[in-house]
Amino acid sequence: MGDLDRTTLLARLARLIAEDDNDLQLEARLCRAYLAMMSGDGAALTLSYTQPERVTLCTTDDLAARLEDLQEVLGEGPGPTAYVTEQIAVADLRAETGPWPLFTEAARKVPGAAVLYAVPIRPWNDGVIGVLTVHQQTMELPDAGQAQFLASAIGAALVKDPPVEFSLGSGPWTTRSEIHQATGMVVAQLRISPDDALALLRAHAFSHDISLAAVADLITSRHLHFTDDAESETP
Amino acid sequence: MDDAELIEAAARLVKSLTPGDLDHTLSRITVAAVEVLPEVDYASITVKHSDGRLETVAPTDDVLWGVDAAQYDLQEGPCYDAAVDTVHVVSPDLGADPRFPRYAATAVAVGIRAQAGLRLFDAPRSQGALNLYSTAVGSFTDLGSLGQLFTHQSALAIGYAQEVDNLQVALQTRRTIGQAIGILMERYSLTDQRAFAFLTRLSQHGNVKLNRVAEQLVDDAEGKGERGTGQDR
Repeated sequence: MGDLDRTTLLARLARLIAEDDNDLQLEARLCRAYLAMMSGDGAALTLSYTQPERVTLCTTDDLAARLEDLQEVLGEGPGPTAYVTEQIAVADLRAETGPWPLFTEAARKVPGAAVLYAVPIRPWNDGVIGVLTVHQQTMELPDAGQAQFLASAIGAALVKDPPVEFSLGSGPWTTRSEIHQATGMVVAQLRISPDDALALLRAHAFSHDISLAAVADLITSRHLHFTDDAESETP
Repeated sequence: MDDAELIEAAARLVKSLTPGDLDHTLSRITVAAVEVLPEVDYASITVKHSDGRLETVAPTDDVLWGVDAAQYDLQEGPCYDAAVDTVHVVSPDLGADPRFPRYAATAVAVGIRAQAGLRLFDAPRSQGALNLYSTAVGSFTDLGSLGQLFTHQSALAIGYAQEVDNLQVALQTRRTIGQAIGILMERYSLTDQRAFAFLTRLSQHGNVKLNRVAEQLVDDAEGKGERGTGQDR
């Protein structure tokens, strides 16, 4: 990919971002522009992918949101792999075998899921800060060099203009806040470390086949309470 | 060093100093200093924190831990000066340098005969200097433009890395505050809004940063009681 190609790509990305709905947050416009450039069906943008402070800043549709949640709950899939290896990872969810058996099996039950790939967000091409995931119906993948270059450009934009205001309002930050709060409540209930409490939330989400956000909601609304003896649920 | 050598060194420098996360970036800078700059046998970086604390990071050799610590303890030496007040300090012959009588003995004892300290960055929360060490008397008299280029390029890389670091710290702060709110919600049966207000009051009352109060709450909550996990950090 030459400099001219890069300039052209950046110009197209910038135009897509500028032309999108200005009421949307920058991170949502970045994510939507990336999806348009990649010609996929849906996309998600998540920072600190495998860390406890992980936050999904944007999902363009319900399927992207569900696939993102499954990968967090199960701790495997192209997203975690792309974050850890800093390389693009692809999952064909229709294949019988693959490197992520738990995730593939769970994702196959989600209507519409077919192919999912994950691109590490490396501003300045080094040091991964998050992952962009894209789902689509075909196995036809975009040019890897372009996919990586644009993900890096999006990372640079995010780092320059970080989306970090603390609010109890709405949006992705609130969802994640609720997971942190639920983690804190379980820490207080069981006197365990935050990492262990988050693992417990994930285990509960997995065993009840609900999203991590739903588990957090059950806990913060005091419908689900963990005690020393056994977990108890009150309606 | 002639122009061709300078250009070649500069090209290698730009290549080896791509920014990464902050720790990696600092390591790359000291490794590149030894590889690219003439006469450099060892290198390290001194960071001066806002509370005045001096810290050595990314030394290319373990001998530097002691050498740098001696400069901090004695409050003299090129690396102490460059981190604290002077932008550029060169001592081609440490043993005969009247500015550093006490420190020079320590350095010469481990074979270090010449040293330079170059200011790398001057951020609101920290200052940093690059320390270059040589075993040969007479080194570093000709650092000149390559030295400047090196520190400029390093400062750029550190700037990028710090921006990435800021974002990651912000995410971690959100996590800690969220967890602390959850602990208060559970312990005192509060709503999240009230728990947040309570946390804010604790912070104002003790004049401690919100993040510090939250960290303390989380640490206390997990450690307390008869049921520990045995793997508290």
